[in-house]
Formats: sequence, C-alpha cells, structure tokens
Amino acid sequence: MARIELKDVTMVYGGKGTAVAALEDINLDIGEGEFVTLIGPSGCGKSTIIDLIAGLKFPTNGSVLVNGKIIRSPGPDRGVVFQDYSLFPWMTVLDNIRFVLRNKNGNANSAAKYLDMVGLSGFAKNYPATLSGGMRQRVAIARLFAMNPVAFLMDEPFGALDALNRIYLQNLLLHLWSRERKTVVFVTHDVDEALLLSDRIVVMTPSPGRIKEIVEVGFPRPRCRTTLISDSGYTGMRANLLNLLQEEMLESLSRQSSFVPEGAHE
Amino acid sequence: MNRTGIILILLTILLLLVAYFLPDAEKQQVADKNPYLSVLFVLMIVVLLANFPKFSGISPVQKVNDVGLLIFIALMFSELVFAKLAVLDPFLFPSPARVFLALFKDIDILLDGLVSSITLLAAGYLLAVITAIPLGLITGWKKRLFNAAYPFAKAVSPIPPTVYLPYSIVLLPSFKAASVFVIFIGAFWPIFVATVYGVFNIEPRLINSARTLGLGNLELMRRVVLPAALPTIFSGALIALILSFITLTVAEMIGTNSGLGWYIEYEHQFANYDKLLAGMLFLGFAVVSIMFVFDRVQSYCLRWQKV
Repeated sequence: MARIELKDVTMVYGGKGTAVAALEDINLDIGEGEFVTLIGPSGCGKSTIIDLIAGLKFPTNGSVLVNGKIIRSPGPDRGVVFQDYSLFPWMTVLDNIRFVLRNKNGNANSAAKYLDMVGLSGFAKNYPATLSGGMRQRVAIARLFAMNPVAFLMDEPFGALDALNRIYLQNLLLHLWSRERKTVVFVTHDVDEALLLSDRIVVMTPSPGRIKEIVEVGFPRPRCRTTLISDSGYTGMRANLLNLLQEEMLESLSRQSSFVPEGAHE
Repeated sequence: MNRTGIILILLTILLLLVAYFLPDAEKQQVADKNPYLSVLFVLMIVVLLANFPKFSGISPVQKVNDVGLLIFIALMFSELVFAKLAVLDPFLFPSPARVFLALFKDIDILLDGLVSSITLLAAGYLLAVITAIPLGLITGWKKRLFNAAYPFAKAVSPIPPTVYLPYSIVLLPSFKAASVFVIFIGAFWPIFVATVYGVFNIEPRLINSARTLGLGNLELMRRVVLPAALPTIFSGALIALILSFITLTVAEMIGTNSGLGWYIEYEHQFANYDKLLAGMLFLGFAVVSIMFVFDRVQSYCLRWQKV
C-alpha cells in the first residue's frame, strides 16, 4: 500500500510563448488504501495527474511522491490501466498476465489463477483482438492484480464500455479491491461511478487544471448499487457534484463561445 | 461438386484430347508428348480432388476452380494458336508440349540451378533481414539518430541495386559474393525503411502502457517495439523479397555459370526458346513457392492480428 502526495505541482506544456498550463498548484494527499476519484471536464488535467504518478511525465514545478519518495521513472510498483491499449495485442491473454509475473516466480498456474478471478479462464489462449472491450478490461484488471503494485492508477478504464459492461466491471473492481485494499487513483467523468467507488472525489476545473473541491464520500462499505441509489445522502451528493461540474462546463463554454444553453442561468 | 468444377474437368479432358489426337503443325512436332500430357493429367486430378474438399482437404474450392480456369484458357490458347495452327513463328513460339518436354529433359540442370539460386537469394536476403530490422528499430526509436541517418537513407535507397554489381564484382573475391552483396543491398533498404516507419507508427499509448510495467530498454525493444512494428516490417520484407528475385536473376544473367537466371540467359544464346520458356516456367514455380512460404511465415508471426 502506498501514500501518494502531490505537492504544489505545476505542469506546463510547450515552450515560451506557446506554453499551456495543464496543472496549477495541485496539492493532494492520498492515504494508504484510499480510493480517490478524479472527476472533471476534459482538459482539466486529470489524466495528467495519472501520468505524473505513473512516472510517464514529470512536473514543471513541485513534486510527486509515493511513500515519501520522488517519482523518477515508471515502475511496476504502480500499476496502470488505461481506457485501451493496456494489453499487448501480440500476446495471448494468459501470456499478457504471465509477462507481468515474469520477474516474480510466477508460472502458468498463478497466471491462470488471476484469469479465473475475472471469470475468463476459458479465454486463456485468445488474443486480445478476439475479445470484446469489456473482456479486455477484465484481463487488464486481472493483470493489475497479478502485478501486485502498491498503487492502482486507473485512467477512465471503463470509459469506452457500454452501460451493462460498465456496471459489471465496477462491481468486479469493488469486489476484488475489498479483498486487497490498494491505494487507487481513478479517473472518470461519470458521477455515479465516482460515488459508487470512491472514498473521496476530487473535482477539477480546466485551463489551467486545478482542484475545485474535494468531496468526502462516507457511504459504508461494502457498497451495493441498489441500496446506495435509494440513500437520501446519495441523491444530494450527486446533485452537488453535477452542479459543480455544470458550473465548470458553462464557464468553459462561455470562454469558448458566446452560445450559452437556454435556462443555464437560473 | 459444383458447376465450375464439372465444366473445368470437362474442358481439361477436351484439352487432353485436342493435344493428343489433333495433329501438330509441321515445325511444332515433338518426339515425346508424355511430359505435357502428364502435366495436364495432374492438373485434372488436382481440380478433381479440390472439388471433393471433404476427401482431399484442399480449400477453397472456388479459388482452385477459378485459377484452374485461367490456366486452362492459357494452355488451350497456346495449344491451338502455337501447336496446331502455328500462327506465329514456331521457332520463337514453341508449343506447350515442346516446352514441357524441355522442362522434363533438363530437370536435373534446373534443380541444380534452383539450389544455386536459392543459396544466393537466402544468403543476401537473410543478411538484409538480420541487419535491417535491428538498425531500423534503433533508428526509428532514437529521434536524433533518425534525423542524422534518414536523409542518407532517402538518397541511397532509390538507387537500383543492380547498379552496384560492376563495382562489387571488382571489389569482392568471387562473383557469388558480389551477387549476395547486391541482393543484400537491394533487400536492405525496403526492410530498413519499413522498420523505421513501423516504429514511428506505434500507438504511443501502447508504449506508455508498456513503460508503466517498468521494462528495461532492451526488453522494451524486444517485447514491445519489435512486435508492434512487425506488420509494417513484413510489408517492407515482401517488397524486399520481390526486389531480391529481380536482383538475383539479373546478377546471374550477367556473371554466374549456375542458377536459373544463368540457365535462361544461356539457352537464349543458343536460341533454344523451348528451354528458355521452360526455365521461365520453372522460375515462376520457384517464386510462387517461395512467396507461399513467406506468406505462411507472415500469417504465423502476425496471427494475433484481427482477421
């Protein structure tokens, strides 16, 4: 498990004159075993934060620390799941998992165990191209658990899936995570997904990317979708989050064009 | 058995009858017609087997029949126009029976030639494969190296490989070495350029995803960059192979005393056009077989791609 800290992180793309601030003054402290969701309109830098923690990008100013150590490169201690391209298309499903076990004394049996965990034992010899998007993400999750990192970084992992598959994968992730509470940083733009999964929701605002508000989600675990939706606190929190996001959306819209949807200002 | 199959077999029988019973033109007469008739017979058997796929395992039936139909048209045309009517000069346009007889008589020389040709081809081509792919991977990966090397590659790669032949003959100890070198040069550039482009066009998110696994540079190259670039590398390798056939035969025609290119050139000097055509036919078979092997290797290596 890992504690993840972002201290005064600023991120600027491009050189002088064309510089675009992607992140500004980000301070975020994620505790061990905490599930934190980043939510916000596109361009708010939520994926950039994942890249920073993963070590794929480096902040212009400030520091990103995992367990007190500054991140200098990507490493297998932080497992990442992207929306797509997480798996190697030229390896079978089983080989994809075996590959992350290669330096541990993992063999075919333990790789198969992880595949079984996501209910895909029957597809061990399939290539990813022959699987549906939902199945591919299930394999990606199995691989994530096989890697056994201290932190899970998930960049809109269910963003490209249909509603049913998304529900299935959210439940699967919750179930697996409840057995092994890793620190999770999860990016989404789906408010219900954020409420179902997280301990805290970080609402972000674009250009430059900043943290607008951090919302505590106090629902007891294990959570169940149906009881959660009928909770009176849920509805209020959902409305609050949607409001925050809508403000953001309207602001960025008015910055981009003069068109403002009817009834937007009540 | 489908209709095309039945028609094709009837047509082949007709061709057999025409070839056997109708008299040849005076200058197209041949001592031994059996090689040609056997070839026709074998063709007919293949078509017959293909039309019972459950029994023979040959598939797809339609493709075999359509290809068979084209072969039939070509053979029937040459049988009538060259052998029977001798519309064109029989000296320059030998009948199919004469060509197949020449093929049959010279089969030992042709097989020796095939071995010699394939040795040169394999040496030059494989040398290109094992050098161009690693160099291409590094050049595509390192931006600075690419910027330095690419203008050079762009200037040198369009030079026809055969241009190097005279100079290589002077510089290298044997003609065989010169041929291998020229085949190598010709095959190198298409594979190199394709590899560089293959690396360029790798989805960046795939590379990022791989880097999050904490791979070392060598492992990243071998397990991620190479397989990701492989589809593009294969398209370059195919062009290189086709170019190699050209380079090989030209090199053989210029200076060796073995090989299929040499055979064709040699028989040309004696105006044995039946043998020349037999050599071309044999060369065609050889090329088709090599391409078949290439195709198999490609589909095996890229079996992970969506079909």
